Amino acid sequence: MNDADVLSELLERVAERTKVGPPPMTAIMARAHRARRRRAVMVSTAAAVAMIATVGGAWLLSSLHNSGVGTPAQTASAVPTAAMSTPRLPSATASTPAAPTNGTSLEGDWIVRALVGTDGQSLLPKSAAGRVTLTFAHGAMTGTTGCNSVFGTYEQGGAQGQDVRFPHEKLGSTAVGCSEPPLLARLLDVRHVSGSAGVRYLHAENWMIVVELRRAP
Amino acid sequence: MHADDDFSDWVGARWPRLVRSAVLLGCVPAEAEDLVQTTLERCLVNWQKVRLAEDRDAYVYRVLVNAFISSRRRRWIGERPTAAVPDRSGPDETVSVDERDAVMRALDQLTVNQRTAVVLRYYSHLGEKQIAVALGVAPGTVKSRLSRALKSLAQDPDLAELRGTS
Repeated sequence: MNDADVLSELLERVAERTKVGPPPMTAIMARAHRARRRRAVMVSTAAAVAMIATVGGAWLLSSLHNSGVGTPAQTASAVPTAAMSTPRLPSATASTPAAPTNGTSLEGDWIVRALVGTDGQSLLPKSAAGRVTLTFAHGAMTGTTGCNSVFGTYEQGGAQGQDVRFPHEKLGSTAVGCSEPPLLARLLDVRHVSGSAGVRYLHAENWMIVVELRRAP
Repeated sequence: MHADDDFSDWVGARWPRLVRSAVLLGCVPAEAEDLVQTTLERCLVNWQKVRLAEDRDAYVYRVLVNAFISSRRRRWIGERPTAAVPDRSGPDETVSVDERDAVMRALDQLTVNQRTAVVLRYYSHLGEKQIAVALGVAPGTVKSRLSRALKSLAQDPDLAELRGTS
Protein backbone atom coordinates (compact mmCIF):
# COMPACT_ATOMS: atom_id res chain seq x y z
CA MET A 1 0.00 0.00 0.00
CA ASN A 2 1.57 3.28 -1.07
CA ASP A 3 1.39 6.71 0.55
CA ALA A 4 -1.50 7.82 -1.65
CA ASP A 5 -3.62 4.82 -0.66
CA VAL A 6 -2.81 5.33 3.03
CA LEU A 7 -3.71 9.01 2.75
CA SER A 8 -6.94 8.17 0.99
CA GLU A 9 -7.86 5.70 3.72
CA LEU A 10 -7.03 8.21 6.46
CA LEU A 11 -9.14 10.90 4.84
CA GLU A 12 -12.04 8.45 4.49
CA ARG A 13 -11.82 7.51 8.18
CA VAL A 14 -11.60 11.11 9.35
CA ALA A 15 -14.42 12.25 7.08
CA GLU A 16 -16.68 9.40 8.16
CA ARG A 17 -16.63 10.82 11.70
CA THR A 18 -18.57 13.82 10.48
CA LYS A 19 -22.24 13.02 10.95
CA VAL A 20 -24.21 14.11 7.94
CA GLY A 21 -27.99 14.22 7.86
CA PRO A 22 -30.19 13.91 4.80
CA PRO A 23 -29.93 16.70 2.24
CA PRO A 24 -32.36 19.58 2.97
CA MET A 25 -33.94 19.41 -0.47
CA THR A 26 -36.85 21.70 0.38
CA ALA A 27 -34.54 24.46 1.59
CA ILE A 28 -32.24 24.11 -1.42
CA MET A 29 -35.18 24.21 -3.85
CA ALA A 30 -36.70 27.23 -2.10
CA ARG A 31 -33.39 29.11 -2.17
CA ALA A 32 -32.92 28.25 -5.85
CA HIS A 33 -36.41 29.46 -6.70
CA ARG A 34 -35.77 32.73 -4.86
CA ALA A 35 -32.51 33.12 -6.78
CA ARG A 36 -34.34 32.48 -10.07
CA ARG A 37 -36.94 35.12 -9.20
CA ARG A 38 -34.21 37.62 -8.30
CA ARG A 39 -32.48 36.93 -11.59
CA ALA A 40 -35.73 37.31 -13.54
CA VAL A 41 -36.40 40.66 -11.85
CA MET A 42 -32.87 41.84 -12.64
CA VAL A 43 -33.17 40.78 -16.28
CA SER A 44 -36.57 42.49 -16.59
CA THR A 45 -35.23 45.66 -15.00
CA ALA A 46 -32.20 45.69 -17.27
CA ALA A 47 -34.43 45.17 -20.32
CA ALA A 48 -36.73 48.00 -19.23
CA VAL A 49 -33.79 50.36 -18.69
CA ALA A 50 -32.35 49.45 -22.09
CA MET A 51 -35.72 50.04 -23.76
CA ILE A 52 -36.19 53.41 -22.04
CA ALA A 53 -32.67 54.44 -23.06
CA THR A 54 -33.30 53.38 -26.67
CA VAL A 55 -36.65 55.13 -26.93
CA GLY A 56 -35.29 58.23 -25.18
CA GLY A 57 -32.26 58.34 -27.46
CA ALA A 58 -34.44 57.95 -30.56
CA TRP A 59 -36.76 60.71 -29.33
CA LEU A 60 -33.80 63.00 -28.66
CA LEU A 61 -32.33 62.39 -32.10
CA SER A 62 -35.73 62.94 -33.67
CA SER A 63 -36.12 66.22 -31.75
CA LEU A 64 -32.72 67.42 -32.86
CA HIS A 65 -33.45 66.43 -36.46
CA ASN A 66 -36.80 68.23 -36.51
CA SER A 67 -35.28 71.34 -35.03
CA GLY A 68 -32.98 71.61 -38.03
CA VAL A 69 -29.72 70.19 -36.82
CA GLY A 70 -29.02 68.49 -40.13
CA THR A 71 -25.36 69.11 -40.78
CA PRO A 72 -22.30 68.90 -38.62
CA ALA A 73 -21.40 72.47 -39.54
CA GLN A 74 -24.56 73.91 -38.03
CA THR A 75 -24.44 75.63 -34.67
CA ALA A 76 -27.42 76.03 -32.43
CA SER A 77 -26.83 79.75 -32.14
CA ALA A 78 -27.21 80.13 -35.90
CA VAL A 79 -30.93 79.35 -35.79
CA PRO A 80 -33.16 81.92 -34.10
CA THR A 81 -35.03 80.12 -31.35
CA ALA A 82 -38.03 82.40 -31.48
CA ALA A 83 -38.41 81.80 -35.19
CA MET A 84 -38.23 78.03 -34.70
CA SER A 85 -41.08 78.06 -32.26
CA THR A 86 -43.27 80.20 -34.52
CA PRO A 87 -45.64 77.85 -36.30
CA ARG A 88 -46.26 80.05 -39.31
CA LEU A 89 -44.14 82.81 -40.70
CA PRO A 90 -45.34 85.56 -43.02
CA SER A 91 -44.60 84.78 -46.63
CA ALA A 92 -42.03 86.75 -48.57
CA THR A 93 -44.68 88.64 -50.47
CA ALA A 94 -47.40 89.03 -47.87
CA SER A 95 -45.94 91.86 -45.87
CA THR A 96 -43.87 94.91 -46.53
CA PRO A 97 -40.34 93.71 -47.04
CA ALA A 98 -37.83 94.96 -44.55
CA ALA A 99 -34.23 95.61 -45.33
CA PRO A 100 -32.20 92.48 -44.56
CA THR A 101 -30.18 92.75 -41.39
CA ASN A 102 -26.49 91.90 -41.24
CA GLY A 103 -27.36 88.34 -40.23
CA THR A 104 -29.65 87.70 -43.18
CA SER A 105 -28.28 89.81 -46.04
CA LEU A 106 -27.23 87.64 -48.97
CA GLU A 107 -25.51 90.36 -50.93
CA GLY A 108 -22.01 89.37 -52.04
CA ASP A 109 -19.99 86.35 -53.07
CA TRP A 110 -20.39 83.05 -51.22
CA ILE A 111 -18.85 79.60 -51.23
CA VAL A 112 -21.28 76.72 -50.72
CA ARG A 113 -19.85 74.79 -47.79
CA ALA A 114 -22.72 72.34 -47.38
CA LEU A 115 -25.68 71.18 -49.43
CA VAL A 116 -28.17 68.98 -47.61
CA GLY A 117 -30.76 66.66 -49.16
CA THR A 118 -34.30 66.15 -47.92
CA ASP A 119 -33.10 63.05 -46.06
CA GLY A 120 -30.51 65.08 -44.14
CA GLN A 121 -27.58 63.58 -46.05
CA SER A 122 -24.86 65.75 -47.60
CA LEU A 123 -25.15 66.21 -51.37
CA LEU A 124 -21.82 67.97 -51.73
CA PRO A 125 -18.94 65.59 -52.53
CA LYS A 126 -15.53 66.37 -51.07
CA SER A 127 -14.19 66.80 -54.61
CA ALA A 128 -16.54 69.79 -55.05
CA ALA A 129 -15.41 71.54 -51.86
CA GLY A 130 -14.70 75.21 -52.56
CA ARG A 131 -15.77 74.96 -56.23
CA VAL A 132 -19.49 75.57 -55.76
CA THR A 133 -20.18 79.31 -55.45
CA LEU A 134 -23.12 81.71 -55.44
CA THR A 135 -23.23 85.46 -55.88
CA PHE A 136 -26.19 87.61 -54.85
CA ALA A 137 -26.58 91.19 -56.04
CA HIS A 138 -29.74 93.32 -56.12
CA GLY A 139 -32.15 90.39 -56.46
CA ALA A 140 -30.05 88.52 -59.03
CA MET A 141 -28.30 85.25 -58.31
CA THR A 142 -25.41 83.73 -60.29
CA GLY A 143 -23.05 80.94 -59.47
CA THR A 144 -21.42 77.73 -60.50
CA THR A 145 -21.74 74.10 -59.52
CA GLY A 146 -18.14 73.49 -60.42
CA CYS A 147 -19.30 72.32 -63.85
CA ASN A 148 -22.26 74.39 -64.99
CA SER A 149 -23.12 78.03 -64.38
CA VAL A 150 -26.39 78.73 -62.60
CA PHE A 151 -28.44 81.91 -62.59
CA GLY A 152 -31.79 83.25 -61.48
CA THR A 153 -33.42 85.69 -59.09
CA TYR A 154 -34.27 85.65 -55.42
CA GLU A 155 -36.84 87.43 -53.29
CA GLN A 156 -36.06 88.35 -49.71
CA GLY A 157 -38.55 89.71 -47.20
CA GLY A 158 -40.10 89.19 -43.78
CA ALA A 159 -39.80 91.29 -40.66
CA GLN A 160 -36.07 90.71 -40.30
CA GLY A 161 -35.43 89.77 -43.90
CA GLN A 162 -35.37 86.15 -42.87
CA ASP A 163 -37.69 84.92 -45.61
CA VAL A 164 -36.14 84.12 -48.96
CA ARG A 165 -37.17 82.13 -51.99
CA PHE A 166 -35.86 81.38 -55.46
CA PRO A 167 -38.69 81.50 -58.02
CA HIS A 168 -38.69 78.34 -60.12
CA GLU A 169 -39.45 80.08 -63.40
CA LYS A 170 -36.40 82.36 -63.08
CA LEU A 171 -33.83 79.66 -62.31
CA GLY A 172 -31.64 78.20 -65.04
CA SER A 173 -28.21 76.79 -65.81
CA THR A 174 -25.88 75.88 -68.62
CA ALA A 175 -26.15 72.29 -69.75
CA VAL A 176 -22.73 70.72 -69.86
CA GLY A 177 -23.18 67.02 -69.21
CA CYS A 178 -21.31 66.20 -66.00
CA SER A 179 -21.81 64.96 -62.49
CA GLU A 180 -22.65 67.86 -60.21
CA PRO A 181 -24.50 68.51 -56.95
CA PRO A 182 -28.23 69.31 -57.42
CA LEU A 183 -27.83 72.92 -56.35
CA LEU A 184 -30.82 74.42 -58.21
CA ALA A 185 -33.17 71.65 -57.14
CA ARG A 186 -32.35 72.30 -53.51
CA LEU A 187 -32.57 76.09 -53.83
CA LEU A 188 -36.21 75.62 -54.82
CA ASP A 189 -36.93 74.37 -51.29
CA VAL A 190 -35.33 77.39 -49.59
CA ARG A 191 -37.74 79.58 -47.58
CA HIS A 192 -35.64 81.18 -44.82
CA VAL A 193 -32.18 82.56 -44.20
CA SER A 194 -30.23 82.99 -40.96
CA GLY A 195 -26.63 83.50 -40.09
CA SER A 196 -23.88 85.47 -38.45
CA ALA A 197 -20.70 87.18 -39.54
CA GLY A 198 -19.40 85.49 -42.68
CA VAL A 199 -21.87 82.59 -42.54
CA ARG A 200 -25.40 82.18 -43.93
CA TYR A 201 -27.77 79.26 -43.66
CA LEU A 202 -30.55 78.78 -46.17
CA HIS A 203 -33.43 76.85 -44.57
CA ALA A 204 -36.40 74.90 -45.84
CA GLU A 205 -39.95 75.68 -44.66
CA ASN A 206 -39.39 73.63 -41.46
CA TRP A 207 -36.10 75.43 -40.78
CA MET A 208 -34.02 72.44 -41.73
CA ILE A 209 -30.72 73.62 -43.18
CA VAL A 210 -30.50 73.25 -46.98
CA VAL A 211 -27.37 75.25 -47.80
CA GLU A 212 -24.50 76.61 -45.73
CA LEU A 213 -22.68 79.57 -47.26
CA ARG A 214 -19.34 81.06 -46.27
CA ARG A 215 -18.31 84.51 -47.41
CA ALA A 216 -15.83 84.18 -50.29
CA PRO A 217 -12.40 85.65 -49.50
CA MET B 1 -37.43 13.00 -16.10
CA HIS B 2 -38.30 16.35 -14.56
CA ALA B 3 -35.30 18.56 -13.88
CA ASP B 4 -36.05 18.77 -10.14
CA ASP B 5 -36.34 14.97 -9.85
CA ASP B 6 -33.08 14.55 -11.70
CA PHE B 7 -31.49 17.07 -9.37
CA SER B 8 -32.92 15.39 -6.26
CA ASP B 9 -31.56 12.01 -7.26
CA TRP B 10 -28.17 13.45 -8.00
CA VAL B 11 -28.00 15.35 -4.71
CA GLY B 12 -29.21 12.34 -2.72
CA ALA B 13 -26.30 10.30 -4.00
CA ARG B 14 -23.60 12.92 -3.43
CA TRP B 15 -24.69 15.03 -0.48
CA PRO B 16 -22.64 13.23 2.25
CA ARG B 17 -19.43 13.22 0.22
CA LEU B 18 -19.83 16.87 -0.75
CA VAL B 19 -20.34 17.90 2.89
CA ARG B 20 -17.40 15.83 4.10
CA SER B 21 -15.23 17.23 1.31
CA ALA B 22 -16.07 20.71 2.59
CA VAL B 23 -15.11 19.60 6.12
CA LEU B 24 -11.76 18.34 4.88
CA LEU B 25 -11.26 21.63 3.07
CA GLY B 26 -11.42 23.29 6.49
CA CYS B 27 -15.06 24.00 7.28
CA VAL B 28 -16.77 23.11 10.54
CA PRO B 29 -19.69 20.70 9.88
CA ALA B 30 -22.46 23.32 10.09
CA GLU B 31 -20.54 25.64 7.82
CA ALA B 32 -19.85 22.73 5.45
CA GLU B 33 -23.57 21.97 5.12
CA ASP B 34 -24.31 25.62 4.45
CA LEU B 35 -21.54 25.78 1.88
CA VAL B 36 -22.84 22.72 0.06
CA GLN B 37 -26.39 24.11 0.17
CA THR B 38 -25.13 27.29 -1.47
CA THR B 39 -23.29 25.20 -4.05
CA LEU B 40 -26.33 23.10 -4.86
CA GLU B 41 -28.57 26.15 -5.01
CA ARG B 42 -26.28 27.67 -7.65
CA CYS B 43 -26.21 24.39 -9.52
CA LEU B 44 -30.02 24.07 -9.46
CA VAL B 45 -30.47 27.60 -10.80
CA ASN B 46 -28.27 26.61 -13.74
CA TRP B 47 -29.21 22.94 -13.78
CA GLN B 48 -29.57 22.75 -17.55
CA LYS B 49 -25.99 23.94 -17.88
CA VAL B 50 -24.84 21.46 -15.22
CA ARG B 51 -26.65 18.59 -16.94
CA LEU B 52 -25.01 19.38 -20.24
CA ALA B 53 -21.56 19.84 -18.72
CA GLU B 54 -18.94 17.46 -20.05
CA ASP B 55 -18.16 16.34 -16.51
CA ARG B 56 -20.96 17.07 -14.09
CA ASP B 57 -19.01 16.16 -10.95
CA ALA B 58 -16.08 18.35 -11.91
CA TYR B 59 -18.50 21.22 -12.59
CA VAL B 60 -20.18 20.88 -9.19
CA TYR B 61 -16.87 20.61 -7.34
CA ARG B 62 -15.74 23.72 -9.17
CA VAL B 63 -18.77 25.59 -7.81
CA LEU B 64 -18.04 24.15 -4.35
CA VAL B 65 -14.40 25.23 -4.38
CA ASN B 66 -15.33 28.72 -5.62
CA ALA B 67 -17.94 29.06 -2.88
CA PHE B 68 -15.40 27.87 -0.30
CA ILE B 69 -12.77 30.36 -1.47
CA SER B 70 -15.38 33.15 -1.47
CA SER B 71 -16.43 32.26 2.08
CA ARG B 72 -12.79 32.46 3.18
CA ARG B 73 -12.49 35.95 1.72
CA ARG B 74 -14.96 37.30 4.25
CA ARG B 75 -13.42 39.56 6.84
CA TRP B 76 -14.17 37.50 9.87
CA ILE B 77 -15.20 33.85 10.13
CA GLY B 78 -14.07 32.99 13.64
CA GLU B 79 -16.65 32.68 16.37
CA ARG B 80 -20.00 31.12 15.57
CA PRO B 81 -22.96 31.48 17.93
CA THR B 82 -24.75 28.27 18.91
CA ALA B 83 -27.92 27.55 20.87
CA ALA B 84 -26.46 24.56 22.67
CA VAL B 85 -22.97 24.27 24.10
CA PRO B 86 -21.28 21.33 22.34
CA ASP B 87 -19.61 20.06 25.54
CA ARG B 88 -21.07 16.77 26.71
CA SER B 89 -19.92 13.66 28.52
CA GLY B 90 -19.47 10.38 26.70
CA PRO B 91 -17.12 7.54 25.95
CA ASP B 92 -13.43 8.20 25.61
CA GLU B 93 -12.88 9.15 21.99
CA THR B 94 -9.32 10.23 22.51
CA VAL B 95 -7.93 7.85 19.90
CA SER B 96 -10.26 8.93 17.13
CA VAL B 97 -9.88 12.56 18.11
CA ASP B 98 -6.13 12.15 17.95
CA GLU B 99 -6.35 10.68 14.47
CA ARG B 100 -8.72 13.40 13.22
CA ASP B 101 -6.66 16.08 14.87
CA ALA B 102 -3.45 14.78 13.34
CA VAL B 103 -4.94 14.61 9.85
CA MET B 104 -6.56 18.03 10.06
CA ARG B 105 -3.40 19.64 11.42
CA ALA B 106 -1.40 18.04 8.63
CA LEU B 107 -3.88 19.40 6.07
CA ASP B 108 -3.72 22.81 7.73
CA GLN B 109 -0.01 22.96 6.92
CA LEU B 110 -0.72 22.76 3.19
CA THR B 111 -1.55 25.78 1.08
CA VAL B 112 -5.21 26.21 0.13
CA ASN B 113 -4.46 25.11 -3.43
CA GLN B 114 -2.56 22.02 -2.32
CA ARG B 115 -5.19 21.10 0.26
CA THR B 116 -7.99 21.44 -2.29
CA ALA B 117 -6.13 19.25 -4.75
CA VAL B 118 -5.49 16.60 -2.08
CA VAL B 119 -9.12 16.51 -0.92
CA LEU B 120 -10.49 16.32 -4.47
CA ARG B 121 -8.00 13.62 -5.46
CA TYR B 122 -7.82 11.39 -2.40
CA TYR B 123 -11.23 11.85 -0.84
CA SER B 124 -13.57 12.90 -3.65
CA HIS B 125 -11.65 10.58 -6.00
CA LEU B 126 -11.68 12.93 -8.96
CA GLY B 127 -9.16 12.30 -11.72
CA GLU B 128 -6.42 14.80 -12.43
CA LYS B 129 -8.26 16.12 -15.48
CA GLN B 130 -11.45 16.54 -13.43
CA ILE B 131 -9.52 18.39 -10.74
CA ALA B 132 -7.98 20.60 -13.41
CA VAL B 133 -11.50 21.47 -14.61
CA ALA B 134 -12.73 22.01 -11.06
CA LEU B 135 -9.84 24.30 -10.15
CA GLY B 136 -9.61 25.99 -13.54
CA VAL B 137 -5.91 25.11 -13.94
CA ALA B 138 -3.83 22.91 -16.25
CA PRO B 139 -3.50 19.18 -15.45
CA GLY B 140 0.24 19.69 -15.02
CA THR B 141 -0.45 22.23 -12.29
CA VAL B 142 -2.62 19.68 -10.50
CA LYS B 143 0.19 17.12 -10.66
CA SER B 144 2.73 19.52 -9.24
CA ARG B 145 0.38 20.61 -6.45
CA LEU B 146 -0.31 16.99 -5.50
CA SER B 147 3.36 16.12 -5.63
CA ARG B 148 4.34 18.98 -3.35
CA ALA B 149 1.43 18.24 -1.01
CA LEU B 150 2.37 14.57 -0.69
CA LYS B 151 5.98 15.49 -0.04
CA SER B 152 4.89 17.87 2.70
CA LEU B 153 2.51 15.33 4.26
CA ALA B 154 5.21 12.65 4.19
CA GLN B 155 7.35 14.84 6.44
CA ASP B 156 4.59 15.28 9.02
CA PRO B 157 5.61 13.23 12.11
CA ASP B 158 2.04 12.70 13.37
CA LEU B 159 0.88 11.34 10.04
CA ALA B 160 3.96 9.18 9.87
CA GLU B 161 3.00 7.71 13.23
CA LEU B 162 -0.55 7.04 12.01
CA ARG B 163 0.84 5.32 8.93
CA GLY B 164 3.13 3.30 11.20
CA THR B 165 6.26 4.40 9.38
CA SER B 166 7.97 6.16 12.25
